[in-house]
Amino acid sequence: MKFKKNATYILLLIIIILVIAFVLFLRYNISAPEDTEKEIVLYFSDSGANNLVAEKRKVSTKNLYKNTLEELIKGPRKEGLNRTIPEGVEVLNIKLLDGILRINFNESLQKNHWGGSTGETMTVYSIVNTMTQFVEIDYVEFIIEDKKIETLVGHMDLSRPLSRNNKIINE
Amino acid sequence: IKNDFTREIEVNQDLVKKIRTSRFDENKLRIVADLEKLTGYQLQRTEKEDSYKYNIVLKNVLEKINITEQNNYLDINFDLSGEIDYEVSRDTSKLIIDFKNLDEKINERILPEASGIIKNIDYVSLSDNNSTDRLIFELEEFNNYQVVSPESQNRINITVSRKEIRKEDHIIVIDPGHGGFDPGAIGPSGLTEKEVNLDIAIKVNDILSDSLDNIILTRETDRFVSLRRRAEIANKAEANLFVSIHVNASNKGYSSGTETYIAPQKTGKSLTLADNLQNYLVNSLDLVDRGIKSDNFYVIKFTEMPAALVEVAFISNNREENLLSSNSFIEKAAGAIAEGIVKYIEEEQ
Repeated sequence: MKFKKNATYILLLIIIILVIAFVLFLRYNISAPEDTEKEIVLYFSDSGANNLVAEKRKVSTKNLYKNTLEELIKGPRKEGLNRTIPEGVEVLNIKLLDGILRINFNESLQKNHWGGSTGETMTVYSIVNTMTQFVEIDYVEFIIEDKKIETLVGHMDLSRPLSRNNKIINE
Repeated sequence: IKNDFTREIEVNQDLVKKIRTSRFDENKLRIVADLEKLTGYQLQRTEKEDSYKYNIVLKNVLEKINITEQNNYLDINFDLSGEIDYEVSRDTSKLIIDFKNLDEKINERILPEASGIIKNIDYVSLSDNNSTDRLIFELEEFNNYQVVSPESQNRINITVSRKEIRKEDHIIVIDPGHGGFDPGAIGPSGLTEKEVNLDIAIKVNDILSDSLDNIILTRETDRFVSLRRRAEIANKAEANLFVSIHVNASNKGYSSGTETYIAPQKTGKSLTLADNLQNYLVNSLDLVDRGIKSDNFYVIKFTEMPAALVEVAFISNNREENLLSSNSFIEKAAGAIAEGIVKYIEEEQ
């Protein structure tokens, strides 16, 4: 009888320890997603430059924004899609403040650009739409070599931050 | 948030098809309602001890009225949260807009102050058979009005022209894109956009000069003019319309065709202008019709008059670059742009 009672206590203790371990496990998993992978969406131009088309890819969540931009710069893997960012483009730094993501690019984004209203909107919205998939980002501001710009290649007003454009996406 | 939500709830109601949930990442959960049609929504949050209750109310209401007064016309925009039936009519100097079956009375706080040519704005709620919410704009005499609602059905756009202007008194600004150290796009065999734009613009000027007295070019030579300066030239001149001339490019050679841009916040008369330009260009050049697009472009956004930007053809496309290098094609394009402008002016009279 006494033995049976002891066994019950031990069982109860084991259950409590398991519950605590489980809670700690959950907690650790939720609060420390340090270097995990995450599926993100990149937007590239379709072959006629009429619309942007999504391509999914996995990136490391450490420096998520920079990794995402770097994948965008690499260009599409899917057949029939075109890159939207010219050769030689580098992201110098990124800053998120009050929902506005300020991206500082090197001058290649402007100098190596192929031009055209269509070319410019494809480039700009591939970046804006890709980055606003993250709910904490509402606007994207373009900076070139630390300077604010009037336009990228002579059409769009880039003097202020831009919000997402869903009309240009073909799903 | 734990992951034990019901994945999908079938609703099959008039408004809502189903409600589904999905996990976005570790600390975000998305709840999506698939609606039968475009319907407005309002979010209400109530806090009760340590729980929050979110209420989403689906209803169609008039959210915002936006009036822009230009030197010779008035642009009135109504933003609705969903699709709504409406009727516009005129009673001498009064412009009457009837909204049918709004789910909520118009909040009088959103009615703008009467100013400029608007003498008074009145709101009457008529609820006989089906409810009608009537807005009455009392204006100083006006010439005509036009309902120009763009693609999305939840915005009603009305332009009201103030007075008649004689055709030859119209001030027209033609804006050849790029120039100087900014070549614009460059074709595969080296043709530059800036020279094509200027060639077309000069021809448009030649053609229009026969019937119009006031044409201004933002540049007449190969020199750089900032976008801000271009808009400033048109605004200072109090121009009646602004047309920017460009040729297009993309990063690969497959893109082809003609398109025309307007600014999203200037739909009314700018859309009519763009329509005319695009139609004449497509009919006369016979390239792919890429349609009218609305985007945040500098010169068409910051000019205070109806404005459009044409992209005649793709200089990045071999065949179209070849066309753009021929005199006859440049003349055809200029002729079409000039015709579009004249047609617009005549329609507006």
